[in-house]
Amino acid sequence: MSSSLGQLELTILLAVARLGDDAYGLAVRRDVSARTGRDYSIGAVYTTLQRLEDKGLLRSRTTDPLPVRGGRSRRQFKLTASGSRAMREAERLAASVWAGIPSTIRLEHA
Amino acid sequence: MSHPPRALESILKGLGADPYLSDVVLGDLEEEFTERAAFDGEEEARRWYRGEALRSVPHLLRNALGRLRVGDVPRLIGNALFAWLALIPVGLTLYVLVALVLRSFGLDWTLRSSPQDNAFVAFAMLSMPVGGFVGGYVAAWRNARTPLIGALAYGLVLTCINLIAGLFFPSPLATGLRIAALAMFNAGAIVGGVARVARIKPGVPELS
Repeated sequence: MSSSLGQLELTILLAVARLGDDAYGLAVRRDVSARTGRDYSIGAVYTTLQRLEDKGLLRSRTTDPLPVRGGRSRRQFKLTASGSRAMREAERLAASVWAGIPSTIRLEHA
Repeated sequence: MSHPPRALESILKGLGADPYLSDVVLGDLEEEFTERAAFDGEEEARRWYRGEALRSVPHLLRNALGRLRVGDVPRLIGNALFAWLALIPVGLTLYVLVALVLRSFGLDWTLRSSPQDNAFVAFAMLSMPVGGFVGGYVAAWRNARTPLIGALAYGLVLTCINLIAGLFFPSPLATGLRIAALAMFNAGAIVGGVARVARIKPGVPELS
């Protein structure tokens, strides 16, 4: 499953998992931008969220309309069981490809 | 309370993306705009909004193009041809106005389709962006669901007709001028489409 995930897809999937009940477009975008240092457009984030939902890795629901959004709803995302499996698979794959790399060229982890 | 530029909202909606997608994108834009206006001031928030709206265009446009079905093509071509017909009275009016203005200066001017006739070349170059604008506006108006794609289709269809006609009837314009004229025509069509959607109210849902 994870082999079909692009880097942005995985980053966004992780952000949705981290944000829990607060995972909607704007919050996901801020989380991803803060962690990657890249300023993704709202359109790019939603396109990716939509693609992840189409793949069955996320599901979404709309909230009640909010005045702060000009009377529009938020679209909140949640990880599905397939999404959780895809994340675990991506982590396993990353650990596998990093195995055996000398510690001198690896980042120090706190 | 400050509001984001409504004309820009209309333009983003006018791209014809899935209403579900354009609604959440516009909602996020407005939510962040409100926060930025409170902290950085409205002018700065508006600048941010313009930039961010522009960055969202390719994504919304791709979504809109992906929603097109084969059955939409005849409709887009039909509306482009309708807009083309609408140009005839506009072109005639423009021609008569130019002729009248020139006559008031004592110049008797009639169009001669010749690359040597500078007045003809000037008229042709002027009429292309005007024709593009008017036709783009009409095509956007006729394509209520995807107005900006309608305007783009108008430019594309008319460009194809022009190129095909050029195979049988040599253009009176030199190649470079012809390319510039077609580019201005398509730019005019896009501006015409934008002008049309900027007039549409964004249709913000009512709060319950």
